[in-house]
Amino acid sequence: MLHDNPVLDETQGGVDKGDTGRLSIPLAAGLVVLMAFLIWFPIGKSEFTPIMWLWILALVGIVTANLLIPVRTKNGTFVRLLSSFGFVLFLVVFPFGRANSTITDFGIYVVFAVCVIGVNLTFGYAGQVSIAQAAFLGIGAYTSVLLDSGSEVGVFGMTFTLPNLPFLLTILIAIAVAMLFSVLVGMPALRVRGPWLAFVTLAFNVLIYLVFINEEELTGGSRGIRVLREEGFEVFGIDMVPLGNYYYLCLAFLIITILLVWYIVRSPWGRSFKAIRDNADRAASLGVDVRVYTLLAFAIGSGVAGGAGALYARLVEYIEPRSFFLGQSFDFLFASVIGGLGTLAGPLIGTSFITIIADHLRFAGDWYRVWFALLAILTMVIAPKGVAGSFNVLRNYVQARRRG
Amino acid sequence: MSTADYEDARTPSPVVEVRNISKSFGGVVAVNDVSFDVYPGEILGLIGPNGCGKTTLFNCVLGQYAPDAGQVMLKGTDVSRWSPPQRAKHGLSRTFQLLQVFDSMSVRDNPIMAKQPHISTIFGRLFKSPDLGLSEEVDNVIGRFKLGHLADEIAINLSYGQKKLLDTAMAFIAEPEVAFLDEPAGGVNLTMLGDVENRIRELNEQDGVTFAIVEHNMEFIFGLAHRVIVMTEGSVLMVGTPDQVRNDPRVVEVYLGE
Repeated sequence: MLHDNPVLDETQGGVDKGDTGRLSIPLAAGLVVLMAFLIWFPIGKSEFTPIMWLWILALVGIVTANLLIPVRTKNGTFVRLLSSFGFVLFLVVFPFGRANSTITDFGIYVVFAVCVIGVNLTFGYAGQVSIAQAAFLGIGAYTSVLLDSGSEVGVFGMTFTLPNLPFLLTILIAIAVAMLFSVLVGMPALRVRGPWLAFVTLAFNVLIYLVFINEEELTGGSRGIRVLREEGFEVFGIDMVPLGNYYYLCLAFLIITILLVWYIVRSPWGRSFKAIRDNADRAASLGVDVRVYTLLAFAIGSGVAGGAGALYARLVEYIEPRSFFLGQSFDFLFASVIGGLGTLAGPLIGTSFITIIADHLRFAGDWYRVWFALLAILTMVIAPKGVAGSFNVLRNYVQARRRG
Repeated sequence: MSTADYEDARTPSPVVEVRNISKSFGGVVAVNDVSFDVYPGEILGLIGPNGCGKTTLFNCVLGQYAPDAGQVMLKGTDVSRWSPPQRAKHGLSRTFQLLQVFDSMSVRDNPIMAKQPHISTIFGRLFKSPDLGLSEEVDNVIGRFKLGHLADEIAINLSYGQKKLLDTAMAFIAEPEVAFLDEPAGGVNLTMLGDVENRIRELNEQDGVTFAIVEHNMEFIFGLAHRVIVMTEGSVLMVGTPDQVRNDPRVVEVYLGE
């Protein structure tokens, strides 16, 4: 008889079961190996070395603080905020006295982190896979660049003069356009449950790439567009021509995005997102409009990528369709998974895998992709919940031990 | 409330009327022209052997399936074409046969999630406090369900019986017109079974919650329900009080074989 099942007869306790409070030896060993690898790897790489040390220190700091401090106490929240603040402080102080190429690398990290935070909101919180984040990055980039170019273009046999809007306004329009496209793509795909958004966004990314390549008069085709931060490029009256200044604009956008997502995730919306991710049918039976919420998560996640695109174009001063192809989308997806889905620190950690750490693998030449793939597989094997997720597991374990 | 009192107190107008529901899957007729009413304040039991269409009927009433024919009326309004979220917002709540709590959320967050769709609008909710001011109410409820000491625990860490209790708490916290429970006793051990039964009776008697319960544990339903519907092979075999059903030769035949 079912009622005699010993497994179902556990009515007491209920604490520290399930995988959230359990620590596996491979996981602990794996994390140590991974951290050692990340620290050992940059040694001897000329200009990067001291920064990389600081970088690793900042990452280790954020996860250690997360590991040691209980979540649900007032002090805990404070220390966690402080550690995040320390991480941001590192991003703030590091450009002083650095070469432009280094600042660009970190600028790209900052801009891509915004994209990965977007993916994490759609995938990690609302449970829908988007494989078009690079397309939205591209849509934002081209929208912003075309709207403040002031040049003449011929499309469909007619000649248009493009407007010359202020840069901040083009960022907002880039966000709006990316959200609009995401709603158009998401509406049909999110009518039914299942992996359909992944398929549709996959096709959408290819489509957008072809549009970028083929609409040469507008986008410059495969030659791309040079977007220089020319004389008189100002935001709030601050000269944005020097890379050092522009980097802070990107960083400000990242911080705004983090605060926005943090607010959304802890609001009732975040609870609905998680409910849908955990069990969409149950959420619907409680009165949650699953379609509306998933669409909202997807639109916000894509919208921030649009804004990131506008910033990305002026950061690298050159955009071409290949930057926005599928490979980049998969990188964003990979970064969100490896960092830890459904965590706030995860995207910040994961993005360093596809930018700064990936750059360090380039010395391997043709072997770069192989090393990268190995690193990815290794990380997923030893830390299936991502780096931040694994530290959450560790922290729960430590807390459970303390409770006795 | 004894059965006689309940007969007197019963208001003439049912809160939910189910009219001639039919549902087939391919050539298999799962539910065949079933009608029943749910009256305010009652506990309605729905029993029948495996595969007789109880859960399919629930899914048609709650909107998870679109029935091939028939209507569902909620307080006189035809809700047959409404989506499950719409029905939930207008007072039809349910549990599922398989466990359906939100694993990644805390025990406190689960009932808050259940009540959240009934507060404000989608965009209004974005600007409310994270717990929508429900923490105190929810703590009371999970306290009644003996889950108070686990309020901050992540739901995946609960035992099966505790999850079942949490599931039931979620079905009633939004003050539904009718709470439809699909096998609240399924897979629950004997000690916990009494807990589930007492909680449902208490909610019915003290808080006036109306229940419709699908179950194939007959003793559980006979001890709890005011009125029992017996289904077999997609149709209603009989409706009656627990005593009438218990002593009806047709029911014995259905359950024990020819």
